[in-house]
Amino acid sequence: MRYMMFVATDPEAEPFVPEEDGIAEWIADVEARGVHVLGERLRPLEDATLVRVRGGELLVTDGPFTESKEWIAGFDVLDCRDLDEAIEIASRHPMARFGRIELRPMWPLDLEEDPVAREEREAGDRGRRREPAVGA
Amino acid sequence: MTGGRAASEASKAVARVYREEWTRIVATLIRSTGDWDVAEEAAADAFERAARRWVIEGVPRNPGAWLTTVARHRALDVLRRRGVEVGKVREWMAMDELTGGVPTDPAEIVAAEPEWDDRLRLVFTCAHPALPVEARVALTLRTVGGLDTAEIAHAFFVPEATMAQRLVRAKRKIRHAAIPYRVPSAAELPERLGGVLAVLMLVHNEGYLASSGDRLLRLDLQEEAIRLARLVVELLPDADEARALLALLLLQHARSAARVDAEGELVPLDEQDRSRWNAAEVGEGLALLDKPPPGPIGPYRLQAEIQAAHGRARTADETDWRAIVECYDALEAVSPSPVVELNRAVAHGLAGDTDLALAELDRLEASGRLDGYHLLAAAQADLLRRNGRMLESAARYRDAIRLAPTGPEQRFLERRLAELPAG
Repeated sequence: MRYMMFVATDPEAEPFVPEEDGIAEWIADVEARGVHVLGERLRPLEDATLVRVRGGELLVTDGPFTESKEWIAGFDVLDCRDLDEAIEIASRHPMARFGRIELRPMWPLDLEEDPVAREEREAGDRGRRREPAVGA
Repeated sequence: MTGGRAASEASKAVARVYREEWTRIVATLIRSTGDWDVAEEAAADAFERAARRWVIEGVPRNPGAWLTTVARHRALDVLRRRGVEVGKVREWMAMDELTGGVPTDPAEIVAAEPEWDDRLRLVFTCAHPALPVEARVALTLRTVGGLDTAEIAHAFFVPEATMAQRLVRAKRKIRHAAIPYRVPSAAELPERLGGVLAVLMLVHNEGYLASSGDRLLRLDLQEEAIRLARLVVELLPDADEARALLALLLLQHARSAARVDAEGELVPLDEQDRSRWNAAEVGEGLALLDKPPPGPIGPYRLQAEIQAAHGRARTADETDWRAIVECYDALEAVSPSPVVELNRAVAHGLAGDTDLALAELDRLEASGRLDGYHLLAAAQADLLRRNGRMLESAARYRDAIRLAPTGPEQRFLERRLAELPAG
C-alpha cells in the first residue's frame, strides 16, 4: 500500500532543535528498508504559483493561498505493508516531534473505467464528513 | 408436541452457538477473504440458514463446523458475484507445528495458535487508534460481540441509520487505509493493548451506568465487556493491565443484583445487602489481582484494587478507605482526571476527613472542570450532610437532582433530600 506522507509545521509542536534533527538517519533507514519511493522538501508559499482556468481563461497568480498555521513543508511517498508500518516510519520522522505528519492512503485510478460510472460507484467514498467529536 | 420441541431446541442451539461461535467465524472469514462486509454478511446468512434448517433436520453434531462450512460457501458466492477470482481467496491456515520453547512475542504466539488467533486479531483491529473512538466501540460490539446494528444503536441512543453509517465508514477506512488485521508485535503491544482495554472499558461503562434513559443497568453490555476482557486475558495471560481490567469489571458486575432494589431504585454501596453480591465473581476478581504486577502499576490495576477493597469488606464499615485514598493518589499520578480527584475527595470524606474532602471539592468546583456533573453536587451534598450543614446540603442535593441524567439517580437524590433532618 502506498501512502502520501505530508510533513507539516505545527505551532503547537515542540520548538525545532537543529542538533536533534535526525532527518539524514531517517532517510538512510527508509531507503535501506526499501519503503521510500520519493520525498522532497517544499519551498514556502511565497515561492508558490496558483494556476486556474476560469471560463476558459487561464489565470496565473502568486495567490491567494489558504492561510493556515499548519503548512506543508515537505512530502514522502511510502510503500508499506500496511498502516501500522507507515505509522511506525512516520513516528520516527523528526517532524513528527517538531511538526505534524499526515498519512494519506493513495487512491489508485483505473484509466480504463468510464468516469461517469466511476463517479457513481465512488460517490459515497468522497467528501464524507467526519464523525462528530466524542464528549466535547 | 415433537415439532414444537424440535423448534425450541433448534432455536436454543442457534442462540448458544451464536454466542460461542460468531466471533470465531467472522474472524476466520475476515482473514480468508480480507473483506469485513463479506465476512459479516456470510456469517449472518449462515446463522439464518441454521435457524431454518436445524428445525427440520435437527441440530448437527458439530454446529460450529456446520456454520463455518456454510458461511465459507456463502462468502465464496458473494466474492464470485463481485467478480473476485476464487483463487484469490486464501485457503484456511493449517498450522499445527508448535516449535520448541514458549514464544514471548504475542504476534508469534498468535501465529502458533490458530485456535484463537483470529479473534485476537479482530479485537486489535477494531480498537485501532486510526479509527474514531466511537467507531472503535461500535465495531467491537458488532464484529467481536456479534450485536446487530439496531442493538448497538439502541445501546448508544443514536438512530440506527447513524450507527449503520458509523460502522460502514469504519470498515471502509480499514480497507482504504490498509489498517492491518493482525496482533501488534511485542514492541507495539503496550500502546495498542491500552487502546483495546479502553474500548472494553467504554463498552462496560455504557452498561454500568446508562448515560441517559430510565433503565439504570444495562447488563447485556456489561456481560459483553466481561466476555471480551476474558478473551483478551485468555490470549495474553501475562498482561497485568488486562487481568486487572477483567477483575475490575467482575468486581463491579458482582454488585449488580444489590445495586437496584425490587422497584428498580438505586441502592448506594454503603446500603447494599452484601450477601446479594455474586460471591463467585468477587472471588474471581480478587484472585485475578493476587499475582503482583511484574512492572509498574497501571491505571486499571489501581481501579481494580479500589473495587477489591470494597469486595473484601464484609460490611460497609469494614471498608479500608485509607487504602482506597492511596489508590486514588497513585491513580492521580498515572492518569489524572477531575473525576479521579472527585472520587479521591469522597474517599477522604469516608475515611473520616470530611473537612479536607469538602475543601478539595470546593477547589474542584471552582476550577469549573466538572461543571454540570451531577456527581460533584451529590458528593458535596452528602459530605455537607455528614458535617451537619443541612441547609447547604439541601441546596446541593437540589442542584444534583436537576443535573442527574437518569430517572433512578434523580429519585435516589430526591429520597436523600427528603431524609435530611431539619438543620
